[in-house]
Formats: sequence, structure tokens, C-alpha cells
Amino acid sequence: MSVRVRSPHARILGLGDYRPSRVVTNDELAETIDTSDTWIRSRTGIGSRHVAAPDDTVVSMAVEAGRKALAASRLSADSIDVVILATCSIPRAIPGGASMVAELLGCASPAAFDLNSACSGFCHGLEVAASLVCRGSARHVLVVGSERFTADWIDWEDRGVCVLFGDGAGAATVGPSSEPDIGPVVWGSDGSGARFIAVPDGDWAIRMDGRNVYRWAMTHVAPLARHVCDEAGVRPADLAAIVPHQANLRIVEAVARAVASHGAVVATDVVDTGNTSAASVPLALSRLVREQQVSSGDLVLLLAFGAGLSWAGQVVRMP
Amino acid sequence: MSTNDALILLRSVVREIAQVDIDGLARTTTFTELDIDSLTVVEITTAMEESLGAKIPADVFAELATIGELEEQVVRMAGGPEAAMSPST
Ligand SMILES: CC(C)(COP(=O)(O)OP(=O)(O)OC[C@H]1O[C@@H](n2cnc3c(N)ncnc32)[C@H](O)[C@@H]1OP(=O)(O)O)[C@@H](O)C(=O)NCCC(=O)NCCS
Repeated sequence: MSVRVRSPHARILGLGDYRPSRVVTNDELAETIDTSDTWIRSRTGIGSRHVAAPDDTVVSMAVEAGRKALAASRLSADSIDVVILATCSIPRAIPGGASMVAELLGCASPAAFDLNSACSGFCHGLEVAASLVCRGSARHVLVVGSERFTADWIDWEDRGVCVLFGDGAGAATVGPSSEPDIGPVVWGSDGSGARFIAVPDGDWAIRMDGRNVYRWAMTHVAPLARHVCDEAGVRPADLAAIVPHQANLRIVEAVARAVASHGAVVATDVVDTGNTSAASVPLALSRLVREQQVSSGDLVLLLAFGAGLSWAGQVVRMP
Repeated sequence: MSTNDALILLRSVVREIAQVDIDGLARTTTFTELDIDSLTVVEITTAMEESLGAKIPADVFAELATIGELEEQVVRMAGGPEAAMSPST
């Protein structure tokens, strides 16, 4: 059987993001639910979050982020062979959103599929994209994480959950490379904790055992950050930035402590974005680029985790 | 580790992580009353679990609210991992 022309390696070519314009502060939430800015900040570090307008859908936000990623990588839409939409908050299972994202971007009938690994979806998607490029199944892949929790999946009376989440989308284009610019993935799952973050049977909103999620993240996920560096053969001192999933500032800080890289910038986008699940890592990464906290050629550690339970992380080189 | 040593260790861990002295407090004192948030409880229990080489079951952990309940789990863990996994009374 014949094989396609493979690429030895893959890399990120460009990044893009989309943040809904409406910002909701903790104080605004405290007007309608029994909470306070002090409580939310001390537990989570979150000060505000972006909330989607009615016409900001999972698909439309993914398109905006995708468009920017294409522009940043100077790729035309028709050069995209595969679109991967990482999301867990699309309102309907059928059809998936990826084909609509492709259509609206003007891609030429690429393979397109949704990937649901909740908050770790983008990092899963990045590994899938790199594998597709290296196997020759695609030359250019668009990976988008897009989430709209606030409209469909959040019970605004459940104060243990509603204060945590926000909406938005982040995207990356992935293509061939002569160097290993997307490091080996460290990923896995633990279904014994599936009930910790879930929409229970007969319910419609996300419910969370926040304590057990926090315990798992602190004890099992944070130590993986070091493992991601080891797998990539990268010393912590060589990292320019650390981008943990932006769920909670205390977890972000624990991941950074586990890496113990003194020079690296630590992404803290959670403070004014909240937890945007699959969009969180690319949103935080795009922001570091925009704020010129990282530059081309820099090594950045990504590590995402969430419902499943699931996790995935890798070291990437900035385009 | 003897259960007594484990309880002494617990006191010093709580003092170090939460800056609270639990010596002589009523066992029914809640973490909320001591201004210890549940995320700090995670840090305390993680430190104890690492020292004692055992784990507090997730269901028990989700409900842990008082100093007495925490001490009870520490005693179980000091008695070995199997004791720590048995349901709390
Ligand atoms: C969700 C989280 C902030 C809750 O903090 P916590 O200290 O564990 O809170 P608890 O659920 O133990 O609740 C403690 C008290 O605060 C109250 N509370 C919960 N949410 C509140 C809020 N937004 N404002 C004020 N009080 C709140 C609870 O009702 C409870 O009060 P009670 O004891 O009188 O019933 C925290 O567990 C967390 O961040 N976990 C990680 C979650 C996460 O990152 N998830 C995504 C992973 S992808």
C-alpha cells in the first residue's frame, strides 16, 4: 500500500483569539447571587469574565479566532485540510460544529470534526493535528477551542459553578516543520473522577465537586508539568512561558511551582477571562503573544486538564 | 507513625499552612469558623496524605467540615491505607 508524503515534524504556524465584548465583573454577579468579589478572588483569582452575546455562538467565535490564526500564519482558508473544533459546550450534538466553521471560513471541503475532551480539548487537538501532519494526512490543520457555557450550560443560581466560567475562542494553525516544534504529548484520563465535573442525568447544567477537582488538579496534574518538560527534553530554565489551563489561579500557580522555572512568564489570563475550558490555553497563549511576553522561537509549556477527568500537555515553539 | 505522632504532625501542618493553632479547639469547630477555606483544607490534607502514605476517600473528602472529622481521617490514615479507605462513621 502506498503512503503519503510525510513531514518529519509539525509546528504551530499562527494563533488567533476571540473574546466576546461583554465583560461581567464579580461585583455585577454579586448583585444577583449571594457571592462577593472577595470570595471569588480569594478562591479562584477570577475578577471578571467575558460573556457571549446572543449572536456569539460556539461556531461564530471559532470562526473569528480561526480567521485571525489564518491571517497570523499567512495561510489562505483553502490551504486548510482539516478543521478540529475542540468544544464541550456546543448546544447540539448533531451536526458537529467543525464543518460549519470550515464553511464560514471558506475552506475547501476539508475533513472537519469536533473533539470533546472538555478543558483539555485544545491540547488534545494539537497532538492530533501534529500527528496528521506527520503522517501526511494533512498539510495544514486548524485547531480551535471554542466555548459558550454561559448561555446553555450554566445555572446562574449555582454559585459554586457560575462564577467560574466565561466564553471565548482561541485557535492555532499547525503545519509541517523540519524541527520538532510541538513536543511529545503527555496525556491521559481517569474515569473514576467522571462525576466530579458533569451534567448529571436528568439535569441540564454543569455541576461540580469543586473540592475534589481542586484536590485532583493540585496532587495529580500539577506534578505532570515537570513530566511534560522531561518528555520534551527541555529544561525548565529554557521555557519562556508556562500556560496552564486557566481554571483557577491557585492551580495555575501550583503548576508553575511544579516546573520551578524562575525566568518563565506564567499566564494568568484567568483573572479577567475566567475558565473558558477548551478555549483557555489558546486564549492565554494568544494574549502572551499580543502583549509581547513571548516571541518567535520561544519555548512554551502548555498543560490542560478537566472533565473526564482528562489531561494533555506539551512544549511548543512559538511561531 | 503512631496515631499520636500523626495528630501532632497535623497540628504543625495546620499551623504552617493555615496559620491556625488547633490545639485545644472543640472537635466540632468548622474550617469556616477558623477562616480556613476548603482549598486550604486540600493543601493540609495533601501534606498529611503524603506524610502518612494513605488517602482520604473522595466522598469523605467532599464533606470534610470540622477539625474532628479531619483528625478522624488522620487517625485512620495513621492506622494504614486500608483503614483510611473504610467508610467514615
Ligand atoms: C469551586 C471552588 C471555588 C469552590 O470553593 P470551595 O472553597 O471548595 O467551596 P465549597 O464548595 O467547599 O463551599 C464552601 C462554602 O462557600 C459557599 N460558596 C460556594 N460558591 C460561592 C460563591 N461563589 N460565593 C460565595 N460563597 C460560595 C458554599 O455554599 C459553601 O458554603 P456552606 O459551607 O455554607 O455551604 C473551588 O472548589 C475550586 O475552584 N475548585 C476547582 C474547580 C475547577 O477548577 N474546576 C474546573 C476544572 S477544569
